[in-house]
Amino acid sequence: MDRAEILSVIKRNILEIVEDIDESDLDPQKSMKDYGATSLDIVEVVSSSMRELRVKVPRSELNSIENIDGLVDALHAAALQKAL
Amino acid sequence: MRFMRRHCRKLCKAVPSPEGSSLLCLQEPGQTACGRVCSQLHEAAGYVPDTAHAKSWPFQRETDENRLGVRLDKSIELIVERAKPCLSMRTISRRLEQIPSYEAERLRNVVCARTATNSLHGLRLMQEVAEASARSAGAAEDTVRIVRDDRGKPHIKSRFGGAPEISLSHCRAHVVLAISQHSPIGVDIEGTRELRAGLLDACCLPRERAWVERADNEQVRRFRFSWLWTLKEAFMKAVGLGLAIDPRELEFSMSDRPRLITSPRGTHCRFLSFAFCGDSVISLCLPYD
Repeated sequence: MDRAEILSVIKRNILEIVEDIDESDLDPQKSMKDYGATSLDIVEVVSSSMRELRVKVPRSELNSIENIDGLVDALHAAALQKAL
Repeated sequence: MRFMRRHCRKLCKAVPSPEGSSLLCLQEPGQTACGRVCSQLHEAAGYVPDTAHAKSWPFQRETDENRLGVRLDKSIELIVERAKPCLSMRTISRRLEQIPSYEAERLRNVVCARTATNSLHGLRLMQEVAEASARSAGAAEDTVRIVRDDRGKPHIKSRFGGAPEISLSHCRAHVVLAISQHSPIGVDIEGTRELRAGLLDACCLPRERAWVERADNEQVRRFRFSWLWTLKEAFMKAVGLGLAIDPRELEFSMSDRPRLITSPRGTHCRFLSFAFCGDSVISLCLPYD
């Protein structure tokens, strides 16, 4: 599983869960809050993405993530770890 | 600490809870308060007006077209304002030049106009409260300012000391500010939402989930979930940790009045919730340990 696949899963979940976002607007350098996501939206996007990708990232790591790219990195690292 | 316990008990006593419930109903700003009390959440989808009870409410409420102010006792206050019309991104950019640079920095990347509009609205509310606290202490308004801790929680910093604790929340339609003179406070407002697969798993423990799913219909299931979530988020905000806490580290017993039965470090709290505008919920959390 590469970063592009992970980004695609996260983007799909963001578009499904957070209201009023256009796919062309989504910039991985921005945070979900910048797009109007509530705390509950963020919990749902992260948990749906982890479930779909079958990986788990500890809460302590998730809390320090600043943008969508950071979430991709964390899930990618967890996927690599799982593959070992 | 003893003061805090006494204070929280007093608050709890002040809340009318004829059948042990702490879910109260508030009307929208501008409407006549009816004081309906929901004794059980499963009745939440069809509130029964209780006008007789309204007369005995100890709350002081001020309401106009856009603002509802609820004073729960001498030290706890809740302000609910209707969200302002959405500003254009151009107007938002101009407004960012008029607010403190550290607040402007937080909002500069926001691309959702509704979020930016509500954030600016919330900032104005917080500044209003900060300035009012300075005036009541006989100090100049420029002796107070809004600061954020490293997790983004707002505080009023004052040169005269003793500024109130605040907590801010907004949804699409409303901006809510909770003010506590003596203790930390957390507030959250949430409308109902579709309960997609995985949402309950991510936020609820098995007993909580069973309580949500036991509801008679989808509307009440959604309402129950929103209520539970606002309790959890109000707690996360009150203790200043936000989403650093996994929602599943908190467990509420919802059988009588909501009761926190498991929390990180065993923090004790009082909670109070308001059903609002038919399908939204506002919850307050006051930790005392």
